[in-house]
Amino acid sequence: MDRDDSPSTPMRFYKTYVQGFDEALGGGIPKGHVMLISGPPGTMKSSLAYNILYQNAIREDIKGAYLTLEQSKSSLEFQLSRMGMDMERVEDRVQIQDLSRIRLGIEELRGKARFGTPAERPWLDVLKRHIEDVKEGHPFELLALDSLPVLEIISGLRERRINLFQFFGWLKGLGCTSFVISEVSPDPNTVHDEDFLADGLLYLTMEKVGGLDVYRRIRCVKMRGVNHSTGIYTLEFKEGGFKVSQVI
Amino acid sequence: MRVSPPLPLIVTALHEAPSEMAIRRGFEAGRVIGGAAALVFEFIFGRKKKSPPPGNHIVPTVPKINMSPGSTYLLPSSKPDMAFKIFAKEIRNGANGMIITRLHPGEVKARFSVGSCPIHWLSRAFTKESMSPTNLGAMAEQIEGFVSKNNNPLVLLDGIEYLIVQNDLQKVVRFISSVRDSVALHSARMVIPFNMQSVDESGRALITRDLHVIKWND
Repeated sequence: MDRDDSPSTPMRFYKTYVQGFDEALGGGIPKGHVMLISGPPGTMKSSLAYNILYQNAIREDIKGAYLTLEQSKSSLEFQLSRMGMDMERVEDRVQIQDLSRIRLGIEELRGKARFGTPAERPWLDVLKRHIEDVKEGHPFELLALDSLPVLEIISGLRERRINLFQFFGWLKGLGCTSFVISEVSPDPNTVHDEDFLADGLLYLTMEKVGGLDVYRRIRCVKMRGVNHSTGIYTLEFKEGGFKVSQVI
Repeated sequence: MRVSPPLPLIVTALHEAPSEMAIRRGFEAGRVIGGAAALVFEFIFGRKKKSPPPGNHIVPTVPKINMSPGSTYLLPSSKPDMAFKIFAKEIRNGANGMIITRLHPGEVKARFSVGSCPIHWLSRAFTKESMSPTNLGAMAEQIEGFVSKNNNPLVLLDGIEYLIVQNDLQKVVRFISSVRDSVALHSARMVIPFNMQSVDESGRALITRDLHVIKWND
């Protein structure tokens, strides 16, 4: 797919294929954005990110790469297949990169003082080099990185904001649209460095309703260059797909 | 001066078997007293209609309502039966219907001639046909989806009392308001049976404010 980024050409959007949500986003995610998908555990951040890659591969023939730093590939595939996603259907278009194994290897090497201390530069360099290598062999347009907290832990980022600024800048330089998964506390008033640095922020929460039920909610907190809705929606996974509905 | 009989004597009298004559006299006395009480009751409150013999129930006729497209009607009723009859009549006349109800779909199909219209069961049960009573947004979108895609759409929304219990009155008022807008926007029609006794006066005012309330004898 040939794309021109000059200002005169209309902005290219990637749909989330979350039924009802793309309209709220004003069409989807603009090309080149670094998007944060944030939320507490259990809010389906990873599933949502993968589903965006999966649906774009099936419906638009767009290549994607999913980098997992913590959950193993087999565990992720089991989870996604239980949701009805057929990985074989998109195996030539969506690559799942299990970096948890690479990370463990590096940890081992670090133990042998291969990289010396501090370790943040080598690990981040290895990660970046690996992503660039993947992109060379599999020119993806969509990238999901799961997850930022794990990346921070293993990189030992000391000057957090500066390092994240550099990392997000590097992600933008890749020329793809990326989704960085971030785990945050359920407190919606807490603002993190990455919230400022990312081009867009999708915030997922869980809310107790009627004393007995708990619903997942999704909200687009920000999306640079797009007149999007900031409303809160109920997020559901039903009949093989995500959908949102209004909250009453 | 009246002397009360000693207690053991009364106890003995109560335990003794009464004679047949005494029983008959007792019944007759009861009938006389009962008849007199009925006469007094009728004199004060007026004559009561005789109840029909068993197996010969009076079936209330379906009130004639000219349901205008784009309108939502509230049918004050302790049971949803009449609303189902109105709905069934409209279906026979060519409306495309959808039902959201507290009654199980099997019961609806057995009791009312609603054809093959979709029935969503307001229940916390995990079944294909059930609809969570607390996901009002999804319910509103189900209605919106139906009325926007069908010709001559008609919605029967039963179970408002249950929704109030599961959520709260304010939310349910917002929900009714939202679906009323969808109905108006797509020239659909909607019937809502509702037990007016289930909420207080302010609640009734909130619920009925923008709806056409059908006047009939429940």
